[in-house]
Amino acid sequence: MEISAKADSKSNTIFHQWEAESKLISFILLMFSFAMIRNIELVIIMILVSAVMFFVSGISYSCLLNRWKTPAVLVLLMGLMVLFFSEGQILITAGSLTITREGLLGMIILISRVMSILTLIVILFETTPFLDIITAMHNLGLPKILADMTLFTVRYIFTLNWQLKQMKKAIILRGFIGNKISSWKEYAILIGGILVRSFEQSDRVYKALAIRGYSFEQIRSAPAGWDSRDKTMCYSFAVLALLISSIQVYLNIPGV
Amino acid sequence: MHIPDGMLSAGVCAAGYGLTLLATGYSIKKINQSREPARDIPKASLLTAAFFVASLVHIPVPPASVHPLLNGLLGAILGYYAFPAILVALFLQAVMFGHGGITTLGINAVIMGFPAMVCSIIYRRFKNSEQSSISHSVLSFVTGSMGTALSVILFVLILINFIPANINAEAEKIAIYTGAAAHIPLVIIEGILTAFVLNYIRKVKPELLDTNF
Amino acid sequence: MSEQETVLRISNLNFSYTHSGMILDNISLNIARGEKIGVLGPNGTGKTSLFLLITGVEKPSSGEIYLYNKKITPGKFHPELGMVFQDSDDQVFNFSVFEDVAFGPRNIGFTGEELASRVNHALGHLGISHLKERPPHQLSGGEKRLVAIAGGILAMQSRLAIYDEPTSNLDMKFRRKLINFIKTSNQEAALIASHDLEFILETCNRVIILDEGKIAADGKPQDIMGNWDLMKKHSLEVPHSLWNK
Repeated sequence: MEISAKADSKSNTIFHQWEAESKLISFILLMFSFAMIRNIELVIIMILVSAVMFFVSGISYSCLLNRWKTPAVLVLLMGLMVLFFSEGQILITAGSLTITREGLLGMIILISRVMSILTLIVILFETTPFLDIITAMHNLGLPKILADMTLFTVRYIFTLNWQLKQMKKAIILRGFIGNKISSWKEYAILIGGILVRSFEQSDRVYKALAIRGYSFEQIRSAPAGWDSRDKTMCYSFAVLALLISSIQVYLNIPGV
Repeated sequence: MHIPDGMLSAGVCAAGYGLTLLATGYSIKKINQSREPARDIPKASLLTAAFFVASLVHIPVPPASVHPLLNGLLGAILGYYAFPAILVALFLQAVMFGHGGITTLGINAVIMGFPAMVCSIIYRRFKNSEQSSISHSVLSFVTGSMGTALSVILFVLILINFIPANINAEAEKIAIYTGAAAHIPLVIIEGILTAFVLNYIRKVKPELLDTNF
Repeated sequence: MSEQETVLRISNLNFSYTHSGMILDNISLNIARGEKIGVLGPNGTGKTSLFLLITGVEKPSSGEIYLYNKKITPGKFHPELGMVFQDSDDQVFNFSVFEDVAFGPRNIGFTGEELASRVNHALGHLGISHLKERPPHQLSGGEKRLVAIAGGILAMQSRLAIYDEPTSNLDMKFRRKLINFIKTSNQEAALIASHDLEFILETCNRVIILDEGKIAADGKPQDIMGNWDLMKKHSLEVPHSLWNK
């Protein structure tokens, strides 16, 4: 788990240079258009688009594979359910299980949609500094409460995670094993302990902030200007997203 | 128990964002009416970070282990900050580990956050400082297990009903029941954990439960 | 001392939390330009509370605090008063070192070039410009302390610098760096609470002992810290370097 203030500086692709605000809008439009896809013809386009973007972004395979692993179990379970329990034209029957054409296509569409959208997310977050994303979201209308909460939370996740690990090490040193149901109470005390510590620390954090003039009305930064390349990229993504969704809507019309 | 990107249609995702917008708007309105948002925001954020970290703890259920959801507990402690806190935590989980998703962020926030809001109301309605340790434990158990139970129900219903495919009705029903039944142990664990945690806090730091977030 | 310009004037300050007894009991103190005051005393005698009152974060039960002739109003932002907290993690909250140091000046109203130059100057002064883009959670304890000083005092160009246990958890290298910094720093006055008595001896030209909410002693560091009876009375020890004097 790592989040850095600046994006990986080793690569400098077109995605790395793209200004965060227009990039965020573009990626979200494209993700939503991907989420609409229900036809196998569009799946091919979706896979092509995300593959090209992945190669251009210069992100490593291991990074992408790591992200694909997380939802794998759930997606596979749902994929199998779609494969075996969809109604339609029967392709194969094995005992009580039948595979229909619709089921097979449904599974392929589901899994490739999950993987493609995840690829877009990996590209977006690997090529944009986290702080820039939050600032861009704030400039695009994310309430200040949420922007501030996100930044404070990220900052203290690492500190508190370290403290929790120390607390756990300290009780392990005194004989805690923690693999039995009877150790739930100790786990609850660890959880309670970290909540209490965070609460106590938050009071000092607030005071330190107040000394340096934290007030709720403060504005973070001026909106970034979009240059012509940002605009071109954003318009192209918007057109692509619009194209995909209109084709999908057209294909949904009965009789087409 | 988060729905990944790509599982649900764009329409359902948009509806999830719509509901999230309403819940966030309501929470922020309530927060702005409070005494001092500038004071409470760092507090709520550190607690959010603590919940984030706590949910990474492996709770043993031999022979396996589970991550707790803690959304009932979070509701009880964070009050009006519960929904924003869950939204922030889910966003960070999606970004940092790839749990859940961005297009499904709204719907996941509904699954986790609405039950937390319900738990918040119930815990605060029935808690009082004079009540005995046993009645506080029962209330805490109910808060914790209800948070998880409601989330499980929402999760399974949304996943099975809105997954864009033509699954037959019989299989759908079976999937819902199996999905829900598989989570029963988690519901009980959450109840027990929440009772332990809230009793612990009540003993060592009662101010935390009296903070009017 | 009376001919010197008074930086901070505290008169008849009382403070208590609602749920506990008296923390500070009728404190009066004048701090003159050029003074670096070591604040000694056992734990829980109100050192941190005194500092938070001076900065206006806590509200006194009664009494007044003036910075030059300006009254410190509780709840208001006073960039002239900078403080470094005991635990740097309480203070260094932001997502990158640059953003953290920029936080105070930005709240004063600085933007753009001016803001960047203030931040860069503060970081450069402490020799930590190379940490600019780093997220604070990746820094060592010593590095975090320097970031806290850059953001809490230097970037705000505070006139009075307050340090709460500045050497806690520091290794020898950073401790020495801090001593050199405080000795040569150009704030108008400083208040330093520490259990590190040798550190106080090296950096301060005046010492007060705070015990049970009262100022129990006030004078030159050698006189106070070399007084065996006085130090023992307040659960303190004479530092080794004064044993033969």
